[in-house]
Amino acid sequence: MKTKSRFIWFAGASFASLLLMMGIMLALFWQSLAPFQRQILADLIKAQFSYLFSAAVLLLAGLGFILDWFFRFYIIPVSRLTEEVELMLSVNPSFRTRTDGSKDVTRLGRLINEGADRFQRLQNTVTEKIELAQAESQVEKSILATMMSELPAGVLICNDQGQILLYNRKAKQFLGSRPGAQPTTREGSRASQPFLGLGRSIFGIMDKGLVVHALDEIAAKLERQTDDVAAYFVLVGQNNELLRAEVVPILDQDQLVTGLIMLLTDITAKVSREHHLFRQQRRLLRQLRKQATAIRCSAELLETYADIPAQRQRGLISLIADQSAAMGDLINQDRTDVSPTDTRWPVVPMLAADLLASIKRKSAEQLKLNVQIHPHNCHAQVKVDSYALVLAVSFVLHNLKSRIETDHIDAYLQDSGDLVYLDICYPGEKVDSASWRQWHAAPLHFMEEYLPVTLAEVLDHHRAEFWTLTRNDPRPMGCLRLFLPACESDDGDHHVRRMTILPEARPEFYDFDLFQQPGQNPLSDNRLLTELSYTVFDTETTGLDPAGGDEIISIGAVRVLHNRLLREEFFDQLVNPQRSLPYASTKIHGIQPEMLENQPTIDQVLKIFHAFCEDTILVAHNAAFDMRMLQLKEEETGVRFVNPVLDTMHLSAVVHPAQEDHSISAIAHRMGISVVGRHTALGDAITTGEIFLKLTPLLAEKGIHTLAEARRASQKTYYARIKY
Amino acid sequence: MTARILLVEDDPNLIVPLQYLLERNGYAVMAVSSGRQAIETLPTFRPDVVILDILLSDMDGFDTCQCLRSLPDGTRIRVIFLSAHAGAIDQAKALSCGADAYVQMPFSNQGILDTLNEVMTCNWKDDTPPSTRPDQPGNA
Repeated sequence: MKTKSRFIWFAGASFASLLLMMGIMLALFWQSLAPFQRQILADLIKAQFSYLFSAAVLLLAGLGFILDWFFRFYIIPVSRLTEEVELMLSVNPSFRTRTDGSKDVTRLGRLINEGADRFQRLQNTVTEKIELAQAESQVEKSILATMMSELPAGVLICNDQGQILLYNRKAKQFLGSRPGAQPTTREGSRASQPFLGLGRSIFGIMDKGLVVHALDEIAAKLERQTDDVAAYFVLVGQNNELLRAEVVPILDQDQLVTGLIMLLTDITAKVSREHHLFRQQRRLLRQLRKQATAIRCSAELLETYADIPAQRQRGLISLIADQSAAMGDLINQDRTDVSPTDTRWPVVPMLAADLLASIKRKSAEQLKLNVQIHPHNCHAQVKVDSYALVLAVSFVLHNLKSRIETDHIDAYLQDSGDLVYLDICYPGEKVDSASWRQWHAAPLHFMEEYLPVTLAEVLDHHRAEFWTLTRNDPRPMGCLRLFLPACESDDGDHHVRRMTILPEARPEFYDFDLFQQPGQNPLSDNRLLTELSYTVFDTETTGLDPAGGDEIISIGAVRVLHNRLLREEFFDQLVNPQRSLPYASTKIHGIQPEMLENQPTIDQVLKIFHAFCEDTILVAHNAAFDMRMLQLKEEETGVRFVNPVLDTMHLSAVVHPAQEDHSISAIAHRMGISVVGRHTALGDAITTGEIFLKLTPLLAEKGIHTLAEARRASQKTYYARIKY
Repeated sequence: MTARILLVEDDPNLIVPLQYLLERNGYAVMAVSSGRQAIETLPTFRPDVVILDILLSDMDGFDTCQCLRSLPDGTRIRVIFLSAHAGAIDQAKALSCGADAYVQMPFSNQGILDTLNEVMTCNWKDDTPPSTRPDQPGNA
């Protein structure tokens, strides 16, 4: 309740009590009088009414002044003093009360300040000692954090719900978007750009099917109790690099999977190099075999037939000399680039029948192509990267479907010792060589999936071949035959990655509290405020009238998770408002019109910002204004922000109702927050985030722990009635 | 009657000794350097055996073999593949498209002569296409 309202209620109640008591006393006095005494008193009052009335008014006025003085010098100062002491005891120990009031209240304030000084000195001493004790372990933590940050491989750890608990710089480089950058659409046409961040879902940055596939593989390996429990797959990074992912499970004390460690390595260059070397090696061997054949054939002719005419003999000898020289040249060529490589592009054994089943499933779901698998007795295993190979076959089927216009094909599977054959038969001619060469050289782009390698590279990697032929069964039909080398079983040619078991105590660095996350629904009203994930944001605009045509010119946001402001995970984007920028607004935020000329428009920016805010609670200062700006763009952009919203202005009024000023600057000053970058969207968002973090424990002291409670309390505040 | 052999090979350094070897052993040999030339030569030369290199300049040995087998008289001709590649896939492809033998380079003179002799004396019925042999998948 506001101070003025409190005073009016207090004064009203005091007067009403006084009048009631006086009325009762007068009534009793009147009752005790004899009739003639009442007559005398009535006459006296009538005669002297003006004096008596003036005396009563003066009495009441005097009483009012006394009440006002009492309220101003005792009630209000004590109330403020209480809030200020709360501040000192909670978020800002260096805050000192400057409350003016009665002599006693002022003295009390001085004593409180003195006590706070002593307490802070004591606290500083204790803190220094703690810091000293922590310094040693901090060095160790820094080394570990630096090592993690500078690892050449991307490292990403998530819990069993898929929420990211840790990532290093390399992982962000591979998978994370840079919100500050120009919003551009990636090849592969994803609807919205993915963001890598603590607490975000891993499924936002990679295909859920890949992770589930890896989890299934890990579960099977754990069941078999094999040494190598890791799963492997390849995926595409944000810059179209080909990434090899190695997934290692984290097990709890009961041997249950409680999280995953994902190691990411860029193998793009290595894959290309491997392909190049493979082709080069094949070419070299082919030349050598031919030359050796010519030499051997000629030499044996000379040896076998003594009657060869002289001219023919000379020809054969000359051929042997030439071919020997050519072989020597070939062998002596500089082959410094043919050192063996190890792309570690993962291939794992799987049943050929399972591979075919995956192809059938993908074709049915995405191509609407029915693959009829004919009965077979093939139990052979093949070593494959199932994702890449299924994508390769799907890519071929996609191309095929566009030529033959059928929705039904037949598949035959057979093995013969070293090889597995998969025949895909269709009505029509066999694919011509020119088209086939074109398909081989094209990058694998199937529907919305993409791998930055060609069909030939994938096949080479698997030592496989696709062949186009005509099959008589009994009538001629087109056939694509996939040859795959069969394998016995997992021969363990890759290194063994063993499981990680969590120690009893928490690891020494980074916050793994998300392991304790209840459920997967981050928007639950009943969850504690300290458990939720927030996007604290602010907008800068051309003016203060959203409905009158003012536009957003800048959006800044930062994430808050587990009571930590994640300064590395920010969104900072200027917006071209496609209208003029009033000088009055430039004076406030400092953004010049020319700074906005080449910036993206609001429809582009909001789509990315929407992805950045996904699954988080929105927090803003005076959120009604910012939300109104966003809501007015819903129809134009098709982007709707349905996230729950909290407003630091309301929350401040909830915890400090006696304070008059709830502006960002005033709250920041009260809470001891240094303000940097005021009136820039990102600067204000960061300050708002820090304010929010300081408000959370104060709300808890008032019994407000959950999102629903915070929202309910906010609604009751005076500021909640502001509408734009 | 002298058996006729069509040698399809694009490397002249191989043609010279091979052609001489075969001629010395009583075969009538014609050498061509591409698959298309081989198909064009078939009606006039009417070979008993075609010795085919896999990697040719225009159409490869497999396409040439399939084309040959689809001709009216195609199943009568014996086909021997010469391959400079190692690996089971080429061999499987060769047999799939109806080859009678697959010889990997480098080979000995006696080796190629023995193979030649073997395929020419092979006693399977003329009306049975070679592709039905049991060591290959399907009826390609």
